[in-house]
Amino acid sequence: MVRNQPNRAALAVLAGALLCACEQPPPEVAPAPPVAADWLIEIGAEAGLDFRHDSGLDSSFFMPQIMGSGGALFDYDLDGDLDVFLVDSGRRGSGAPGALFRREADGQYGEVTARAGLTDPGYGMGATVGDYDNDGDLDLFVTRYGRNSLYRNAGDGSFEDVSEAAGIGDDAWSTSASFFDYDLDGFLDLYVANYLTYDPARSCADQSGRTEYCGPQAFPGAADFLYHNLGDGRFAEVAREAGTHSTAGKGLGVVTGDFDDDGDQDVYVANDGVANQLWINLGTGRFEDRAYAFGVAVNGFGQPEAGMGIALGDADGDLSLDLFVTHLDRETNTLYGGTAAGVFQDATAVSGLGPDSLPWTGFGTGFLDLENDGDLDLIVVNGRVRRAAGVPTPSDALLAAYAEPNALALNIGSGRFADHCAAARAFCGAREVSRALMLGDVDADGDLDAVVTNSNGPVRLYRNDAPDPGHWLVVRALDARQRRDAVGSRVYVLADETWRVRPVTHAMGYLSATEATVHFGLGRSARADAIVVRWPDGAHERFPATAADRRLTVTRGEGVPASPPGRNQ
Amino acid sequence: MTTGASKLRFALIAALALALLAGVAGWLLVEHQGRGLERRLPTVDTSASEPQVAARIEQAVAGVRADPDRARAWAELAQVLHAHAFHAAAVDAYLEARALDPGDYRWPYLAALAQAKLDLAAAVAHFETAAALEPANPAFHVNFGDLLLQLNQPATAAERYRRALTIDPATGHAHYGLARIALADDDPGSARALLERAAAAAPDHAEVQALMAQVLARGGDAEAARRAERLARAGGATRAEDPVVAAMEALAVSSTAIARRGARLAKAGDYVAAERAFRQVLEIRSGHPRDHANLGAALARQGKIKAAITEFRRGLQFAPDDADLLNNLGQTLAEAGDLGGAAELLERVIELDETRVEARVNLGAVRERQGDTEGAVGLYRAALALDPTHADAYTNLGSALARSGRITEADEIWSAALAVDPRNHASRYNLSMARVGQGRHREAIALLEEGRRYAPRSSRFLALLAWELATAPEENLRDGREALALARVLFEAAPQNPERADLLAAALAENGRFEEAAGTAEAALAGLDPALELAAAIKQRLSLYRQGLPYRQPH
Repeated sequence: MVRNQPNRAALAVLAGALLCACEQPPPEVAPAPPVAADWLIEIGAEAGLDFRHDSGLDSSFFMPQIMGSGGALFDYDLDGDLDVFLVDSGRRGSGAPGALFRREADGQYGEVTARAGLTDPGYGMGATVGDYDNDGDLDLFVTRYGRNSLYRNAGDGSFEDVSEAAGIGDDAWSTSASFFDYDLDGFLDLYVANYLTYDPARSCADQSGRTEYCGPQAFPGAADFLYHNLGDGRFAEVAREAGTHSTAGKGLGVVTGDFDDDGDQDVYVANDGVANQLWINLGTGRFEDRAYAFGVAVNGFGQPEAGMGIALGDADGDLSLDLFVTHLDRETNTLYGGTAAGVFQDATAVSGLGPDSLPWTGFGTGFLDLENDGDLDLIVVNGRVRRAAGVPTPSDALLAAYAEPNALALNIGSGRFADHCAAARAFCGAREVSRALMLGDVDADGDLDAVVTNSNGPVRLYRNDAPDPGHWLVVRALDARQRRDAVGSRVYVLADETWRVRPVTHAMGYLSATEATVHFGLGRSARADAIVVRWPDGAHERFPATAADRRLTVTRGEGVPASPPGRNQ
Repeated sequence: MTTGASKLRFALIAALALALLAGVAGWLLVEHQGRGLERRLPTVDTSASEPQVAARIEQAVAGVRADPDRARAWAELAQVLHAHAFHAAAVDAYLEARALDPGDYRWPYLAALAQAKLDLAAAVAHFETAAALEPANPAFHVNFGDLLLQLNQPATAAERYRRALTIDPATGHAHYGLARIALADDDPGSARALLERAAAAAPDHAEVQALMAQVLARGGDAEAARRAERLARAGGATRAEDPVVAAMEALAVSSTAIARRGARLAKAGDYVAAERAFRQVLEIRSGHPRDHANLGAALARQGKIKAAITEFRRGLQFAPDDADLLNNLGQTLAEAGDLGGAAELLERVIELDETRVEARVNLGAVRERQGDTEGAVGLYRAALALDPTHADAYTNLGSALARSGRITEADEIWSAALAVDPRNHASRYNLSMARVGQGRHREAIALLEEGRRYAPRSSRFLALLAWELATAPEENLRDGREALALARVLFEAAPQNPERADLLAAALAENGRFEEAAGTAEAALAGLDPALELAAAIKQRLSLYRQGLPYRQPH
């Protein structure tokens, strides 16, 4: 009897066929798009920017250790390129001097701290620059947890500590600062944000009971300093007389500008955990906080947030300046959009900048036209001040528990932004405890580069390599009478029938400062058809058309009186 | 037989094999389920947390292990994790609870709130799941609306706010959300109307005043905008408590969470519970001066002055220059009658931090009690120079001026206080009393009616208002029915209080109920020292009631 046996040969064939099917090459698919070149390339070490911040980190949860430090990107020696001053902190009690790096003709940085006489130690926080003595070079002000210092630029490559003579070396926990001429007397005054009346003896725990850095709610705020420049090298602290002493905020970020368009300079302070302040200059030597009425005190939900850094710029191209403030994780960053009505409105949701920022703690920030297409993009550098739930206690990996990636958002028109980290992997992918951001055209190639400080980490210099950049124009608004940048001006440029505006200011973001020149991307337009400067006192002056791709200085009095540019159609 | 035996043997072996198979299968199933449960249980690292937090989480985990099919066990675990900010793990546990109990909106709702701490867009799905269950909790709809607004979905957000208002028309934050949408649509008129409704529902909401300031500034009403700014700065409750969130938060056992709870309780006036919470904090951790300051303040508020002083002193052992502690101790010593000690400490606070307004106000009060009225007035004025919105500085300055006979100046100060902040209840009361004394009853009643809007439960306002409505000399100002309604409520809350009985008697008389009025006045007199001024006044009024006459204040 022949039994029906399974056909082994057939099974083998079938198995082989199955195996073959498994081993077949995948079906042909369309080739992957070429990997976009990285728009921001880190070249700090390569360029000789050899600096590592030291906060004196230990397991004491000493609050200043987590706040990081800033710096200034400025041409201290007037050789036409951007040098870098980086603030250091050091150990409690002793502190550490900052570091000044001079950019050489070959693009390499060399440290010149000792030669420049900037060896004064102290627990440093931030820096700002401004030509307070109108001698044509930029002076340096360093804020500290402790005594602040003013360094006068001697013009020979060195600085002189004039804090005592200038009457400016007050003792506090100072953070960001801004030089501005609030009384329009031609001399730059100085606003210094103070953070907290800190008590190192107080320790704090988080929601799950872990010891953690204290938050701002643990301490009373500290009133800010306002120094009036007396014009003879001395300053008088006038916060009480000016009214800015009346409410103590918890200031971390400062920008100055004419927010109410009345021809004098006002001050905006981002406060940590309490309402922000907008000190409106009443023109009488007094200021009044109108942040609520202007819509920039709290977010759209009426909640004060943990204000850290500030970016000032025209995000939506409507020629009104907008304010962007960075915040803690579990809060979104907030964009306060300037409106035609002269007040601001929370435009975070419309801009698309909110949800992506929720997981991160933002500090330094700045608007920049990354690819020179004419609109402003946005950079935020992040790093926690409290660990995520479940991250273990201090160990070797303490800093890692606070490290976060940075963020880059591209303007996609009408004030809306989209995450663009896919094109900036080096920048966004670097998980560090980042704090300050300074923007400037370091390599003088017509686009803006970025310097980023990291708490207990190396400084980073990101070269802007955005592909196919558009044309550009860099404008310096000069007030010849004072021989210095006309800080507080606004520069408008018309190109391709579109006006664009940029504010002239040194202070930026968080704990930092940069040169006061303004950078415009002009897209396909190879020329600027007109330039209008609104000087700090509100007067407008028009300057002739110019070719693109150049650095241009416009001097007050050399143009023709003009009216403000009309809104873009 | 052989065939039968072998059949039996076969059956036995088969049965044994089946039993073995079933056993193995059962073991595998249990093992699989156990491993499955372990996989489902969220893992969190509590190694650095306070021990009681780790223990509480472990307890909740044990509850799940004991009964993994019980939704409540998962919900409790989720809430405990959520309350300690383990948001991602909490979301996972809420989803388990939701799978076992799909009819309870709380689990997807809380999952949404936890998720929203991590990823706004991902929270929408959880909100939608909860919304499908039609929760009757207005806070749910407000929170969902807020999330949608953050995601730039104003139309759907508006639906949620409207839903909250159909459940409770007094949901201030829903009006607020709609006002934001109106303002974004460039419709400040509607925004203002909505904010007025929000303010009526919740006069203390700082956020409402913040947006109102913007709307008014936009409309060019600078003075009103300034007033709204001051109210916004003065702060206050932001939104009504959500019972679902409160229940979750109540499960927190970390010292930070308990301290926050204590602060909330103290703010709400429940000092007994606040004291309990702060003591619990001190059992968990030591060396924190702020904990002693909190406990001391809760004790002082209950009149436990000695214990409060001890706590403040304990705190100062850790932080001898803590201005808050020194200020609190100074104030409490003053309450205990040690004016010299109090003054010394308060002067020290000012020396340490010259911007400390409260210290100047407290020192002013001490100086007054020491008989130095001019010194006190100077300190109050200095405090107002530092903070022109300080309510107590205005009130005390007005009172000091009034006590020294400078009535017009006092009047101006109290009026200025109300211009700065209409919620300055003490100044309003003083000004109302001054108006009554000046015979300006119409103004007094107007002031009190407005005060009632801001402090509907203030017995002081209500009592004075009821008195005016019952006894004002001008007939057109009196309102016997309203006076009686108010007086009755106040009397029932404190039937032993002779002033309340006197008020009720006057209101009864105004309504022509003289017999009841007389009986009430007699009862008030029964417990009162006849030598007191109040006793004489009630006696005088009693004789009127007995004659069938109501009491009227003199013109």
